[in-house]
Amino acid sequence: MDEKEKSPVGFLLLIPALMVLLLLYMYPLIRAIALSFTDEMGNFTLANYNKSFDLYARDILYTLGITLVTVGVTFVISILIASYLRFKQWKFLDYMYRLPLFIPFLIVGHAMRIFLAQHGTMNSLLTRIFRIEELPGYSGLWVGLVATFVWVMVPFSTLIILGAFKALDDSYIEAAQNLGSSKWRIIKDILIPLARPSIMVAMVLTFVRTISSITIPLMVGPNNPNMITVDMMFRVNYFSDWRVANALGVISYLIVMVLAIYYLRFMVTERGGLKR
Amino acid sequence: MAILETRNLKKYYGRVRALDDVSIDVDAGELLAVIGPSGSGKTTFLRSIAGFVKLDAGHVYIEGKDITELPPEKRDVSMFFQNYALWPHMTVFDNVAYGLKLRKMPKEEIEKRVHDVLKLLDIEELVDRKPSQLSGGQQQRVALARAIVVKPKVLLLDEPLSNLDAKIRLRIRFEIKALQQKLNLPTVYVTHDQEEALSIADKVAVMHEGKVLQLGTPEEVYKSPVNFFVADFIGTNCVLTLKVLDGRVKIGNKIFEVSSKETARMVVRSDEAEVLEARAEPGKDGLRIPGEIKGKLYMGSKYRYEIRIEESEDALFVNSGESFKIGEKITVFVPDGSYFVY
Repeated sequence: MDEKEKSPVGFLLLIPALMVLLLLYMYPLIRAIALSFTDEMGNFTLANYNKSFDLYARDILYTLGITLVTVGVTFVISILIASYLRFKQWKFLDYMYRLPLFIPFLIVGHAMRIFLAQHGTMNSLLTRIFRIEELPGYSGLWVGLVATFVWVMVPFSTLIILGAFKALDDSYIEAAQNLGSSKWRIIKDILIPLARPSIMVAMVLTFVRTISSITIPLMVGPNNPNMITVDMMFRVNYFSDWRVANALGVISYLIVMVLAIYYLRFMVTERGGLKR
Repeated sequence: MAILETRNLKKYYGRVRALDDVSIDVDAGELLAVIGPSGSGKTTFLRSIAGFVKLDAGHVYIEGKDITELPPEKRDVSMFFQNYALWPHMTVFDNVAYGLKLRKMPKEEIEKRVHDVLKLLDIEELVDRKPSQLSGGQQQRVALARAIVVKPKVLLLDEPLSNLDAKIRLRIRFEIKALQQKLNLPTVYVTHDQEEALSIADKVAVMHEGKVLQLGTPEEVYKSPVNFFVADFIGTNCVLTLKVLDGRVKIGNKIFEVSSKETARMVVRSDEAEVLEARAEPGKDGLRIPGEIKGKLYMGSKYRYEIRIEESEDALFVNSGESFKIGEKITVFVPDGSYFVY
């Protein structure tokens, strides 16, 4: 037994995965952090961070805001679709909600830009059908950006949540219904609490995918304020300023890390609280 | 007037008839046991009263009001689920209090009623536990508490004892019966265990392939079964296949007229049958079949015999306190009323 544990084969099998992790994740991360704390001479400095906050404080808050609103709206829509499909069979919706999964960000961005523009598809439909005044174009506004993000994020998060809902035994739902619970109360009291771990996963993934997206804010978002990813690209493309770009990158890392810690702590208490 | 009335309930799943013209009433304080093999429609019957099955035809009335079209949440019937269906994220208190919270009762009232019902079921000390910290028997009680705390008009029990081990099951039968009488609730009790049904029910409905074959008191169903299926399903029995000659069947000291052409079947309540010495004369009237001991099992307080008889290829299995030898010629005595020929 001891011999087996000391055998190097296990470690050897792990090496490819470990190398990928070290080369493609740890090394760039450490390099980015290092670069963000040095000046051109290679000396330690906080100047990159000062510059980041001076120039982009508003953009950082804006990014955080857009991401949180996206997560919130995605949560509501995903719960609604997943609940509907948990209670009722509707093949059409079941296929339709997944469709955006298979459409590349670039195409979504372009489609949304046309759809949401002042004289775009949405407005021309609205004015023709409801005979109302043309709404302002939402492409280039934060509303348009959030709408596009939600369109992209909902399928994946619904997929995860619906999976969790469907895994719950019917009798949990029927027992609540039997005692007089409406569908809304069942969603709130039974479905959401019992599927909480999966919902958390869906929301964390939505958060990370939104905050790290560049194509969509570049195509649909306003020119000012911008999302951090766009600022990073500008720093590199127009100023060749890798140091501030890296500082901004580290800042987004930290934001995601706060979430990751919160999530891990939740998972630990959840596992510890339930005897499984 | 009965509190729960069901009229001509029909439910088809494709060609399968889950409910085929079922009409049963349950009075106040009455316990109706619905029994049948799996697939007989007994659970569909229960779920149609709760509103989880949409009926193809028929009506369900509670206190004279037609509830056929009402959704489950508006029916005021409580269902006990076979797997208990306790919500794992809620404590015992929250599980039991849920129905009361939905009824928007004041907090003190909810606390009082939950504690009363937990006391009634003798599980007060579990109030803050989660379902995963309870034994099967405790979960069963919590599920029962959750169902009765809302004071429903009708109580529906779906195989309430099937997940408990045999010893607890016997004890809890008494408790359920006592509780049901105390609450005076019309109750529908679905089970596949005929012994459980007979012992606990005021009225028994035997179902098969969606039909109610017989509806009556446990004594009626046991003593005068309407057909072979009911006779065989209820009680502990042996079935003998017998040859028919000129519309008649001869077995032991009796001859029966039967309608079947080639073979008839006899159901013998083996609990009531006795094994006697070959020439013994029982003091009572009954069926005496000569036979031979083929096998013998020691069961503690008694022996179980496998007995061959001339009239049938099927063996009789009868228990007796007396010891006989294998190969010995004996007489099986079955008192009148404990055998049925179809």
